[in-house]
Amino acid sequence: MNRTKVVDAEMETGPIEPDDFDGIVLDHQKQVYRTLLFLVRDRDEAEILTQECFLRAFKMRSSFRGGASLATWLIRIAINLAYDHNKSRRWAFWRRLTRTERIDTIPLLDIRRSPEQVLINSELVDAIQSAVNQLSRQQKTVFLLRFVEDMPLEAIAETMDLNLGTVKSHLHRAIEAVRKACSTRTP
Amino acid sequence: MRGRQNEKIPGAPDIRAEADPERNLGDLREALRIFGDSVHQAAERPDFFWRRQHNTIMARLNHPASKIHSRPALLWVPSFLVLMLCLFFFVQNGKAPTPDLAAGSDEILLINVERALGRDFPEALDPAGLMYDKKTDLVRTK
Repeated sequence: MNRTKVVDAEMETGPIEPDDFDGIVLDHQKQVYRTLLFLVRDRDEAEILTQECFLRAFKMRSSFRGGASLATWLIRIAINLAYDHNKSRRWAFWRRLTRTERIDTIPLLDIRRSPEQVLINSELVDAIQSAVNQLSRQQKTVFLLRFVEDMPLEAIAETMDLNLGTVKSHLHRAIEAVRKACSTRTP
Repeated sequence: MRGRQNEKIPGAPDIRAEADPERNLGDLREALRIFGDSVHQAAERPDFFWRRQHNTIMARLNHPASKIHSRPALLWVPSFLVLMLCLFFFVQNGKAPTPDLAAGSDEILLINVERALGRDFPEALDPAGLMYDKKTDLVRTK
């Protein structure tokens, strides 16, 4: 699978102009959606929050620090939105009731692999996913940014507004949980 | 003293592992790659989805007051609430008043007896009675 690296090497400079947003949405909507899908695990909600993310970014464009990567800035907004969303219990009942396409297990289809291999991989993915579900909010986010979005630890620290040591500590705990889940899965 | 440097205090976190969490990933690295791929795959959407999303976002940026994309999944919620309310009132109003059996049963019996006495035929013979009336009318007209 062709996975694009999230954090581009080039660092954005200068303020964002309203006219820039057309290109920004085109360039980053997939990554923002993927991040939100991982954190809220519901396609409808991820779609709505993706729109909210760009709206919020537009409103807050003056606060964008030119030294940071645009992707980092957008992902930070997306993560905060997902946290707020998951925190609000007000609509939890309706969310459960109206959930149309909740992602409980991530499909893993790969025509290049044998059915046996696909099955093994699916079980592996399920095991990792259930371990990830047990992680704390920050551990889960660090895990996502590192192993799904391929972000360097420094960028993760910047995105989550944490120091590098804390990011490493969260990652270590996440890896240990996943390792344990994978080892118990293996006969 | 030197030998004790490598001793690990039981229960203490492995500081070296935390300093470089990915140091001993080993086989787990491949599992994590597969997991990452699966998340990317799950987030893949058709082109029209991205076009629609892009258009929606740009429309909302240009007209912030308008709610362009409402959640289709939530559209049925008001209808559902109205239906539930109607059902509730229907059930409330449709409940037959529970008769006061002790007081009402005698009265009902009396009414039934009175009705039965006032009849030309017993209730069960109503169809035959109708036929008799019709036949009598025919004979009279002849």
